[in-house]
This record gives sequence, structure tokens and C-alpha cells, in this order.
Amino acid sequence: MLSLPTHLLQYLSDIHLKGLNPAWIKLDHDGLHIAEFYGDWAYYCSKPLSVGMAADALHPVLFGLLPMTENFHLSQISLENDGFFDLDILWHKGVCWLLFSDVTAIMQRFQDMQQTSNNLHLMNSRYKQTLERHMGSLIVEKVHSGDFQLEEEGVRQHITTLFVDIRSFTVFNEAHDAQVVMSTVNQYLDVMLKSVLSHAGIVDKITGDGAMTVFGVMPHEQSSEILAFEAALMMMEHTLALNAKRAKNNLEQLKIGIGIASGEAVVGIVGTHERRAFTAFGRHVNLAARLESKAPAGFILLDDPTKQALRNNYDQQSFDLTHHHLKGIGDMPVWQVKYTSDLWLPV
Amino acid sequence: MIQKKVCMLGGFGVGKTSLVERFVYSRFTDEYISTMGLKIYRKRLSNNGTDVNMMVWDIYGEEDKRKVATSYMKGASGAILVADGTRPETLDTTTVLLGRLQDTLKVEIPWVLLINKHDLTDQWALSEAQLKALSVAGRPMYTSSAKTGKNVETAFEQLAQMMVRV
Ligand SMILES: Nc1nc2c(ncn2[C@@H]2O[C@H](COP(=O)(O)OP(=O)(O)OP(=O)(O)O)[C@@H](O)[C@H]2O)c(=O)[nH]1
Ligand SMILES: [Mg+2]
Repeated sequence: MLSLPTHLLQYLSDIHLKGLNPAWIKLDHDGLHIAEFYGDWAYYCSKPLSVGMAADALHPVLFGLLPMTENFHLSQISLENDGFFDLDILWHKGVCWLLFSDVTAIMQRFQDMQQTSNNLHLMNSRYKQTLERHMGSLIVEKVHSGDFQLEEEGVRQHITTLFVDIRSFTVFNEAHDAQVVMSTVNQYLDVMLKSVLSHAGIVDKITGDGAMTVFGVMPHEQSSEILAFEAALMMMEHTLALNAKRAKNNLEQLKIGIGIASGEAVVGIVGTHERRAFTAFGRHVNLAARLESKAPAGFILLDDPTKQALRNNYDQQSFDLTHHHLKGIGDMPVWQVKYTSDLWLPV
Repeated sequence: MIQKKVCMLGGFGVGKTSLVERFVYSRFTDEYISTMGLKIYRKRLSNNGTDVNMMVWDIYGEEDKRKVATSYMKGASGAILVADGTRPETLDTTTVLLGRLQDTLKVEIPWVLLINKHDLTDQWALSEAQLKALSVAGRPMYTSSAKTGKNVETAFEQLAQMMVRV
């Protein structure tokens, strides 16, 4: 085993083992009754233990598990006293041992994380639903009023797809107050949505901390590329403003990355009558997602067709040509724009 | 008296704890406190003169990064699979969990599928047609609500009946 000097082993055992308050039972050869026991059993069960007693009377968790002739582990079992223990059943040289250890302190640390993460997931799916519904009905309405045509089976159309995502959002690592997280996500979604909606964009999907949005489906005099790029600039600008406010309150800075690509796609409404959602399928949609995943915080990454369509409207100095290897797509030229508050793009 | 172990299985936040709390203590709260690990509840049921002592294992919800360990399923005689009717993706989670349960136990055990939160009509995301498709081939399935109590006792009682019959 570990070649540790006794005093070090003692030290480790003191800090780790004592907190676990281990209590054990050696079972009879029938694997059902108590032969020997040791430890603070009063902590784990209300009944006093005695030799010869049936072990499964100790805690309902043992029901149906004994006799056991292999090693078995069950974690985080709740106790009447609000504590938690881990159960280990060990099969050693024909004898079965039960080991209970107190993990209450460890669990308390995890509880916050699990709660925050679950709350976030729930909130995301609620947003997603509301949005899908909102966008879906908006489009259905427009179709009905004759504002624009969208066939149920989908139509081929030239569109621009924009993916945006929060970078370095450490909410899952830090035990953030759920309230703070909620308000952060709210503010961020607000920024994103305003930018998309004010450029005739459609929010297709909300994914984790980000979104897929498309431009060019709703009729507009501007090209889909310009609408998407303008929306991206607005997202960046609003994020900076939001961060200035957050800095005053000592809150973490939000950093976003954006990927944009353009091309032909099949757009249409899918789903049942109760739940109609808009979607776009096309090769460039994957590309936009890949670009977003490569975009460093504060950067907008564009594919070449999008960049070319912006040629006459923006200062070309702001676009840097880079080459990227994109998973599942290959090597290709990628244009990147680093957003700063004094960036003056339109020409 | 017959003792039976029943596992509550489903994605996080679908209402497993709320259904058990409704069934065992006839109470409900809107507050969400995510279950850590495992908590065991007991409830005595009477089925055609046979008393069944149900031990309900309320287990933490499945999440991508936190799967339900198979050791929790060992020794189960029945399962309540729970999905959230406002989040259709939670139905897939019940399918995954049922598969894991059957792989672990190596025998078929009785189960009932609940599609919960039926009281949330404006957020409900499954159509009648989808529900019909789910309940084909005599699969025991109910829409339920831990909030109003809809089909909660029915489901546990049906499961008890199925377990006693086995
Ligand atoms: N309206 C409504 N809300 C419900 C219902 N069932 C549960 N909820 C709510 O949904 C949330 C989650 O419920 P829980 O019972 O904690 O869910 P769970 O499946 O035990 O969650 P985990 O333990 O994290 O896996 C809580 O806010 C409940 O109040 C229901 O039938 N109707
Ligand atoms: Mg729970």
C-alpha cells in the first residue's frame, strides 16, 4: 500500500476519516445477521444494535439487498436527521461487511451546485419554449396576413445564420446565488433578443448559454448579411454597456463570441398544430455554429460569402483574414472582427 | 405483509419528489428543491385484502453530467417513470432510464409512466395524438399532476396491483 510514515498516515486519517464517522458491521456466514459491529451507530439508526439481529432492520435501504456476495456501493442516502450517508457492502474472504460513512458535509457543498445547474437548465427550457412559441406564432401570423410566404414543406432561400454564446460563464463552477444567475441570464437574453428582433431576425433555438438566429427570412430592404452583422455589432455594444454596469456592482464580466455564415437553406415551419416552430436547415448553418465555437471573446467570425456581401458597406481594414481548420468542414478562410467601443465600421 | 421496493425514475425537475410527497403526505409545494442522492419513503397500501408496504425510492433526477447509477435500481420490484409534459425531451430520458433499469435487473418488472404537470395547460407541449401514440400496446401511462393530485393515487395503486400479481 502507500508507503507513508505512521504520523502522516495518522494525520490524513484524522482529517479525512474522522469526518466520515465510519461505522461497520461484520455479518454472520448467512450474510443476514449481525456478528460484530463497531462505530457510532446511534447516528445512523434509531434502533440499538445487537449481535444476532437481522441487518436489514437497520435501514430501509438494505431491504432486498442482503445476502450480498459481491462489492456494492450506494451513495448519498438520506437519514431521518437530515444527514446523508454512503453505504458500502464489501465481500471479503467469504464474509460480508457493511460500512456506513457520513457524507453530510460533502453533500452540502454539492447541493448548491446541483440546484443552480438544474434551475438554469429549467429556466433555459422555459425561455426556449416561450420564444419558440412567440416566434412560431409571429411567423404563422405573418404568413396568414400575406406578409410573406412560407410553405409548410419548406422553401429554399438565401439566409444568414448567426450563432452567439457566452464565453467563460463560470456559473457552473462557482456556487453562485441562483438569484444572481437568473438576473444575469435575463439581462443577457434581453440584449441578444433586442439585437435580433430589431434587425428582422428570428431566434431559431436557444442552446445552453447561446442562441441560433437567422436573418433574411422576414422581408427587409437590407441584405441578410448586413442585418446579421449589424445585429452582431449591436450585441457586442450592448454587452459592453452591460459589463460597465456589472463592473460597478463587482459582478463577473460577460464575454460573448459570435459566428456568422450565409448560404442557401431550407426554411419552414415544423411541428404539430399545438407546437409550431420555425427551423432552417443548410450547410452554412453548421459552419456558422463552428465559427462561433472558434470565436474568442469579443470577436465576430465570418465566412467568406458573408464578408464579401459586406464589402461596400464597411471599412475593410477592420476585417482580418485568418485560416481555420473547422471540424467536419475542413480548412477555409475565415474573417474576424475584434469589437471595440471605438470601432467605426460603416463607410 | 408484502414489502416492495419502487424506484422513481426520470429527468431532473419533472416532479418525482412532488409526486411521492403528494402520495405519501398529501402535500405539495411550488418550491423546487433538487433531490440529492436518495430518500426512501414508506406507504402502506391495501390491495384486495393484501397489505403492501411500499418503499418508494425517490432518486435524484437524471442529467447529462449526472446519470442515475444502476446500484439504486438493484432489488426494485416496480418503477414509476416520470416525464414532464411541458418539456417533451424528458420523455426520451424515461426511455433511457427504462432501458438501464431492464439491463440492470435482467428481468422485466412492472412500471407505470406518468406525464406530469398536466395542470400547466398553457405550457403543456404534447398533443392528444402524441399521447395516444405513447399509450399504445397497453403501456400503463397516465397524465398526472402532483399539484392537483390527478392520477397520483391511481398510478401507485395500479403499480401495487401489478407487483402483487407478478
Ligand atoms: N404545476 C406543477 N408543478 C409541479 C408538478 N410537479 C412538480 N412541480 C414543480 O416542479 C418543480 C420540480 O419538482 P420536484 O418534485 O422537485 O422534481 P424532481 O423530479 O424531484 O426533481 P429532482 O429531484 O431534481 O430530480 C417544483 O417546483 C415543483 O413544485 C405538477 O404536477 N404541477
Ligand atoms: Mg426530487
